[in-house]
Amino acid sequence: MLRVVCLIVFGMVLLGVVACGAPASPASVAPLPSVAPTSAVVPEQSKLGGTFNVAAITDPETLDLHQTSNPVASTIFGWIYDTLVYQDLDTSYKGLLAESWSVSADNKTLTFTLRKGLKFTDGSPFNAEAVKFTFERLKRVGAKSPIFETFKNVTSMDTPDDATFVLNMAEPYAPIFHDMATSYAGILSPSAVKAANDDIGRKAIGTGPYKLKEWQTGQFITLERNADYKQFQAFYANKGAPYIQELRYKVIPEPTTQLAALDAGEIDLLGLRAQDVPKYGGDARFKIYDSYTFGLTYLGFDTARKPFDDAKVRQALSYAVNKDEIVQVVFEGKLAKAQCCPIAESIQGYDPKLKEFELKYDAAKSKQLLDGLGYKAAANGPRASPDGKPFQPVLYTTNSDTHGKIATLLQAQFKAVGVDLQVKQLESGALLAATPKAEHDLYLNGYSWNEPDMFSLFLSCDRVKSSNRVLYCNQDLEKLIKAGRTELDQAKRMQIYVEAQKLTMQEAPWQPLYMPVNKTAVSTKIKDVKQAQSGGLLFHDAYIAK
Amino acid sequence: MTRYIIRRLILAIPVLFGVSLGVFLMLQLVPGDPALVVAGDSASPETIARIRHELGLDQPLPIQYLTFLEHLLHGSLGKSIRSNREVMTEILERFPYTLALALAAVVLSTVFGVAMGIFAAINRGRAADFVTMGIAIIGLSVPTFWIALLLIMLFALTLRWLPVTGASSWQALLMPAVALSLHSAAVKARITRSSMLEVMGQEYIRTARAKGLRERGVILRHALKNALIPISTLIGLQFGSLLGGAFIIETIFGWPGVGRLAVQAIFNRDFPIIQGTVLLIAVAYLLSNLVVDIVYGWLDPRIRYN
Amino acid sequence: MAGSIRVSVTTNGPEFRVLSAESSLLRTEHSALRTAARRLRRSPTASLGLVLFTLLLLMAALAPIIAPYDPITILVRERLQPPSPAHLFGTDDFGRDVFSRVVWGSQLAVRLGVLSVLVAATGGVTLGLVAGYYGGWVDNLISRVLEVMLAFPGLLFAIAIVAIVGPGLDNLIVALGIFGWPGYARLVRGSVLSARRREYVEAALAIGAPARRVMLRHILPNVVAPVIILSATRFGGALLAGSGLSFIGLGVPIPQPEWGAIMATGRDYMDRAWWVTVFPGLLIALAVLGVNLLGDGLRDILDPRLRD
Repeated sequence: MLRVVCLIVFGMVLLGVVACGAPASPASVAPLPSVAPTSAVVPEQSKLGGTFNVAAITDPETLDLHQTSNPVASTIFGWIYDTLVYQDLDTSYKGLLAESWSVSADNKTLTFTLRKGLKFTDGSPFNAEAVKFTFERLKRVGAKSPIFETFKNVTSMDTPDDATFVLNMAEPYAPIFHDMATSYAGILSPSAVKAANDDIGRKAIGTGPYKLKEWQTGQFITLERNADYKQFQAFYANKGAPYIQELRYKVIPEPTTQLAALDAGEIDLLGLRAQDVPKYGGDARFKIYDSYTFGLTYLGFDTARKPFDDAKVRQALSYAVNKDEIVQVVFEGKLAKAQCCPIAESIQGYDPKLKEFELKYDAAKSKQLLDGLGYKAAANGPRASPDGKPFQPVLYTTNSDTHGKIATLLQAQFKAVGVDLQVKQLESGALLAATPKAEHDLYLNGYSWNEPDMFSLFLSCDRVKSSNRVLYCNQDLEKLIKAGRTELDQAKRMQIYVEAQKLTMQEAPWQPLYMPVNKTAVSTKIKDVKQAQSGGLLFHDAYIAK
Repeated sequence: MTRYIIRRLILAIPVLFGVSLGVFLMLQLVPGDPALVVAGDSASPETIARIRHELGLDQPLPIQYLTFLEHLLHGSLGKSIRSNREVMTEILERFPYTLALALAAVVLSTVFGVAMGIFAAINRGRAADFVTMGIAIIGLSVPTFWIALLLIMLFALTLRWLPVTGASSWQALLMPAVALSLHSAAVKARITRSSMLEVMGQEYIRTARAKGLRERGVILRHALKNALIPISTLIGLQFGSLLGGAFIIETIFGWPGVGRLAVQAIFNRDFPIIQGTVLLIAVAYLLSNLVVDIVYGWLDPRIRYN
Repeated sequence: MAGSIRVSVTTNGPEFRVLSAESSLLRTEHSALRTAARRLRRSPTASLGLVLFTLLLLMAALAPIIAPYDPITILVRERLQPPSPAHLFGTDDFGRDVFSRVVWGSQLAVRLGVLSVLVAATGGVTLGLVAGYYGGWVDNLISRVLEVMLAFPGLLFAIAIVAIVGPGLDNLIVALGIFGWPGYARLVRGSVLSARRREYVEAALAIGAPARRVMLRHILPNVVAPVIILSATRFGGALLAGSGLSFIGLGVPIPQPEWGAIMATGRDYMDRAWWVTVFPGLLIALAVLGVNLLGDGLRDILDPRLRD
């Protein structure tokens, strides 16, 4: 399961490639000229060619854009499909397939003006009809897609002309641009979907910089450069098709084998684990790139269960958690950064001022609070509940190596304040089934969602029976979550999330632990790799030295 | 003979039926149904319910099982929950790799195992016997995954003779096949040795020797043929378990086999794939047993089929 | 697997010839065991096996005395220390003494081996006895169920059980134990079928001895030897399977010092801290080697057909 963690992290690195782009260039500025054959930049012939080999932990299972949330698939979607909008480095959203857009006065209608003259890799034209077709398909068959819920809010779509696409929503929804910038919101070629009889699991056709060339199940997926591609993300010097001829995703499930493959030159890029960093840091064959991830791992309390329904108990135990020690021991101080607040510092909505509300590690205070709550220890023994029964809270987590190590450390940290913490590591499917039933006392896991609206997924009353793994339901927080979803004014919206975080930090259903940090080894054969502000790697200018 | 084979094949049907029912019931006990896992960490209860409905998981259990049987009658194992492709397609895509790996492992382990066994038997009681059998028993005692990691470190990283990954060349097949074959080679070496010793003590071998046949001829023609009986049983049994049980090796070497597919399907709760792979492994097991019994009759004419 | 095949191919075990009364049966058995023990001591490899196995049992029994440190308490500032007089086998990534963990791990190994063999043997022997003794539809039913179990991929079955009931030593024991039923049952059934035809059993039946008594007193002793031999192999197999499952994160929960789990975490540090993987790996190999050698020794002694 460390694998899954790595994988998400890894997926995000490469997503950065597509989802991130130009540095601050005002959205109002006229975009690059729409495709005119003469303006196409011919790539320098010398840079052209080569195969870039990357490890994938699993097969993507399917490349049907609307039928999976598999992280490998999502990375590949980023190469094959372009989205209407992309998130810029200053975290604002800019047009990719859309040239510009306007928002109606009631914030419920978005009107996109699309770029003209673009083609899908099957030769059919990109137009408003294709956008409508794509999102209608998402609404029809997309229950497995992570952005399915978003489009439930979409009531109708119109295409007044080929270059205009109108999206009508039931109520204002601020995270819409984030969701539309994820690779899951790529635009399909309607003619390709029809030709495949809607069975596009292996026939992915989009407008992106690469196209699917070959998929050997369980072995590798090869993507081939789309020679007609036009790059609209201003950050890149290369305005045309990518230089690298082929991207090959090799399926290598075992981390030790992935390392061996990197060593043997069979792959050119690998997200390192903490323990691998010393070995590759000084290796001249690789350059190590640091990048943040858009996610956070937290320790949660099952607030539907006694005694963790009592905020005082949650606070008392929160003080026992030493985040810095976790970062030092489990991540060797390298692959994680301790976090104060529910929204990780890489994500919009983070505010350093919130640090004063953090329940910072303070073992003495934890002991004192526990004493005060009636959790008294027998001589040298662990603490007992106020009613005299043994106090042995059970922590549920995945069976990943990383979570196992963190749990081991938490056990020791809790023991230091006299609490006998039990750990139950479950295979992830079983964990998903266990939490809605409130079988657990504590919960250790992470989220990966580059939007402050993560609150509505993981801490709202609606989700108590599903993705709210701490079963926390607070009407005050609920109001803030609703307000944040519908507020389109950025400054006001962020203020709402500061409030929401403050409330969460005081109520302590979560003790935020850390934000994973990536260290990615890339072969020095790959030249001109650029980095976004978050550190995400950008490959559109990159080429392979011969 | 044909009647025997037909009878055996008919007898296999209730066994396969039992296996499929067993898998089906077992899957109902697994916590976390496919909808939950497919929907992922952030899905809402409504979406989970919708997927459950789309997959027919809201139907009563007997209906679900009957639907599965109905598909089976039409020659389909259903569709994978994850990839939406026919389970049969998914399995057939990986089966050649599994078969290649299993065959390579069986050939390697039989050649080396039997050779070691003969070598030890003819050198009985001498140092050569002791060393060979020592190697065999150590081979039996070392965890396979450990051997696999050592092989990668030695042949792929230090010597750079073999690729770490890939599945399309014989070089790529070599390391997983060797890792997989070590254990069964050790077993075969031990069994060959003891069967040979057993046979070599018997009247007809002594007679053969007494008739002045050369030692090698005696060993190969008579003793080995009889010693092959338990070996062939073993090959049959191992072949079945190699098909499904090689997943740790498949995972370490990134080999696109059926075992890995099955284990991934368990984690993904891809029930149709689990059903399909288990049935396939059961079929392979039953067929290889049948082949073994036929070979048995060929090797040992005393056995009659009736 | 191997052992079960070997034994099932040779079918019947030793013959304890019984002359008249049951007491003489017991006496014969007793002296037979004594002879067996003497032979065991005379074989150098079997003795080595016995020594290794005894050491394993001793280590497990005396773990609290032998282990210098607590196997679970973590001492972060002492992490990844190489072997030294203070830490014979070095320390792991949490600063825990690898030697102490390995020593305590022997308890888990012995429990896994012994209990999974017990689960397998009790279930399998009972099924085999019942099937062989009663024959007819009972035999038919049991045989069909066993066939289904044999056709079922065992390791997948174990993974599914762990997925169902969660990781844990007890669950591992049950999973590996149930998977062992068919091997024992086949072996015992064959032995029972041949034993039933023996004179003393027929005699006991003729004088109207109840079925249970005949089974336990007259037939069971006959299958003891092959069952012991099979058990030695399965003990080793259980240790290997357990460490393999722990290796992929489906074994014993943290922070228990299971050998396979120690190795699994250690492999991440193989280039920097070889001791975390090498020592538990060595212990697994030695423990399995011990029971395998012992099993070989017992087979040579108890299976008269292979004796010189």
